Amino acid sequence: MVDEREGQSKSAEAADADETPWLADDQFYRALASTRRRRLLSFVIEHSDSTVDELATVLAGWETTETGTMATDEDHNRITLELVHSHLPLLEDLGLVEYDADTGVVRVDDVDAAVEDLITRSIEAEQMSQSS
Amino acid sequence: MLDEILEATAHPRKQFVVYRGADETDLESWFARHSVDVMHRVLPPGGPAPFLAIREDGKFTGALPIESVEGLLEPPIVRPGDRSGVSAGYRALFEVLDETTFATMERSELLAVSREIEDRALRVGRGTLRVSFQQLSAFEPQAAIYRFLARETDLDIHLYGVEDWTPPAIDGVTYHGDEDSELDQYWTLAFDGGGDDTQACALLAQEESDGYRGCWTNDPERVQEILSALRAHRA
Repeated sequence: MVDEREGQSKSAEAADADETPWLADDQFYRALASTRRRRLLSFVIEHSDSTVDELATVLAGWETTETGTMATDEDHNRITLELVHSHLPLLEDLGLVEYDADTGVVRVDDVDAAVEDLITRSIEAEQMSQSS
Repeated sequence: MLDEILEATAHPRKQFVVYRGADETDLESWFARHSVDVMHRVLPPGGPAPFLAIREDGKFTGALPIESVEGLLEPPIVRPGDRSGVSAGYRALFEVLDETTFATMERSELLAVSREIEDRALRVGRGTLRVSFQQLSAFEPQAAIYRFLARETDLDIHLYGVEDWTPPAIDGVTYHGDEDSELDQYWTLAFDGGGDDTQACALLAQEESDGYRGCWTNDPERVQEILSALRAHRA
């Protein structure tokens, strides 16, 4: 964590003492305790125009690269339900993402660089441990 | 008739999206060469290997790793019944890329799709298989395979083409040689599924100056249309 704080202090905003409250919040680590939530966060950090439908596609596709078997519409439906009923409400309650139930658009909400960096590194670490 | 059927499939119902890192995949250039629209989205750093997502009429229908899709770039061509070397990914492709018209298909690609259809007919073992070879002489190198198909199954096999060669008599195989016919341009196979609609499939490809334009289908109604168009050539 020391590294993130140092990296953060380089940005002008970091002067604000309230910056990066996430990293001291137990709820935040619970939010990140799910592979699917880390993956979806990493994708919406890259794409601000993504939707629930696309996130289900990305999660299903991500899994297909691990299993080698084709993801079907049933897989997609199952993941969509999980997103709508579990993952997105949890992340939204925490203020990590904004989710518009009418349009399906999902955006990261006010996530600072330290949080982004942590999510990116957790994704990279997971891929590395799989390929080793 | 066949030209109308091919026209009807020219309006794409499927959309393809490649999820990948920064670099374009071979699959995208393959799609581009075959005049199929494909979009891409960039995955986050440290993300998974590239994968292809398929949507039909705006709805997700499947996703599979690019690695398995790339089988189509170098299609496996093996005899019907000898499919042990054909990956599940390649089989899945035959399902997910149907009803898509590909431009400038090469003979090896058409041959791979043809083998898939012949293999289904072999596995089902009954029903009707109609095949247009453009010219009957094109059947010559395939005669051994069809002799095998006819011997091992109860299939009713009908072969079409411009009569430029006298094919050997094979039990279970009926030839319909035409003097001059639209079939000259068409590489076509249609299998009715032998009473099982989920096994019905067809390939329809038209030869053009720079290769073939074609598509295949697993839709039983479309397969019936192609079967009827071929049956109309009963010489």
